Amino acid sequence: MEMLKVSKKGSYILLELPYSGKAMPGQFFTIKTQAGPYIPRPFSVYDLKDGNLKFLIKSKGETEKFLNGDLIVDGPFGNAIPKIDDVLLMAGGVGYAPIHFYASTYDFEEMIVGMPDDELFDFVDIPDHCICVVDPTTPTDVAKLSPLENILACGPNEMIKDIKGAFPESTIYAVMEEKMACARGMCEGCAVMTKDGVKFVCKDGPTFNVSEVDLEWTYR
Amino acid sequence: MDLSIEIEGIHFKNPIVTASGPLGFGDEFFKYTSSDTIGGFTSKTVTPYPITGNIPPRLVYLQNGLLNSIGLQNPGVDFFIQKIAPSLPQTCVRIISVGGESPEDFANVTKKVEKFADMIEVNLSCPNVGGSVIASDSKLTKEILSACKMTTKKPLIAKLSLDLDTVWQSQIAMESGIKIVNIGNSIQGARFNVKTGKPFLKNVRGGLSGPAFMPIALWKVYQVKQAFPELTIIGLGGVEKAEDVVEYIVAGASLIEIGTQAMIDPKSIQKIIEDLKKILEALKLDIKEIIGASHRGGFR
Repeated sequence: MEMLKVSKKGSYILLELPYSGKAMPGQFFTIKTQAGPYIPRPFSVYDLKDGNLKFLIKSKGETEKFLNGDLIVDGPFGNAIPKIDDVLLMAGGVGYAPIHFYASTYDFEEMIVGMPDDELFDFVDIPDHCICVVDPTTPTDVAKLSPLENILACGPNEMIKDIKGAFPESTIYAVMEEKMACARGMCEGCAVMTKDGVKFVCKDGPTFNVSEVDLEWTYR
Repeated sequence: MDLSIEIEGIHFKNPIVTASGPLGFGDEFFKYTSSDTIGGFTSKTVTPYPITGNIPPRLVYLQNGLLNSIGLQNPGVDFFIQKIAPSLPQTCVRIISVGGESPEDFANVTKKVEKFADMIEVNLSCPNVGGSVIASDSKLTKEILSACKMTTKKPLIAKLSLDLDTVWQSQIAMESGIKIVNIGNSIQGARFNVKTGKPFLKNVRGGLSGPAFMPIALWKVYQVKQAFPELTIIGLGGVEKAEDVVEYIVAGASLIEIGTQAMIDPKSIQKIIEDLKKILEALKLDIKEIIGASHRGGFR
């Protein structure tokens, strides 16, 4: 039976499900019910521990209205984030979900989490030695002080663009988001332009080396 | 009861065919559903040269459907025949969708793919050189269908645009010697973001698929069957379950394509076929007996 935990003002939801299978950081599942939504929605894994699978969901009045029905959960889809040495983790908003799972699975050097408000900051579990900033300060502003050259980031499109612009010498991996319908590489909805042509977030990603991605095409 | 049907000399073990587009070239879909199960598979449209497709976002989620703006992304016919076509499934009917801008384009693609196909579907919803849909130009449509007919002896399917009069398009297809029409491509639609005042899709409009679209497609199938009882119709749009398939058949379709449902739940196709068989068993009727039944006063 699933459990729902809702943040103070109702803007965020942690969905917890019993799950006996495996999943790696970066992978995602699709969630729907018999009553909807028509297209199953993809969510990155926030955590998987002791047979409990967790998702962090931003409440926008769309998905959560179905969450009390019998959930149809499918996955895991997508590829795992590669293990990265001496990595600086950067997250923005609910893009924190795969970063949280990565941080609970692998070692990391530093983490900077940007939140739109205190509500999300108070709601999620953030390791003690991490830096948290709230809008208008961005994770990129703080990351400029870090000596680390490997970055793993997940957040809004503008944040990924900012990071690429601010750290041209760094190796940046981004867990990318795009609307998708099949989650299996069939519908070609979640397109990303790379140096090898169009790739898909669901099948080829969701983690991409940003130096290989044409962000101007993808996030135009 | 017998689910099989013969169309222009081609045997379909059941009337369920996958629609062109949502399943690409099937490499992922056939991990979930065997080609032994379905009547036929339709490839994504193949064009003379590779097409990158539209910039994202390419999808808009709707309450009871989906808007897509993929933009005919495909690797081009030469890559297709070298790397993809040889491994298309052999245990269901293979329909290859061909596209282009001109009669020469269509003939060129048809010539290259025909040995890998049991049937060729001519995508008349491709944009022409001027940017409008080919199907809107009756002269060009006839030239394209004639060019394909002269290129191959394989049965041809004219895939119509639902944004235009389908009876008129069917008439044009029949005048070009075509005996099968697909009704049809997804209808065009748009949604706008009230926070930004911009369209959700970079390309503004996209193809509407899913249950929201089904009554429109059913009506088009009915109209064409009424106008041309001898024409074979492939119906599609919004099928989620076996009952939806029966609706298309009684409206006049001989084959039913499934696209979006096969994409969001590829395993569900097998159940749809099993349930279809149960419905026919309860009716004690074969598929062939119920095609167009609504035009004859319903089931007898």
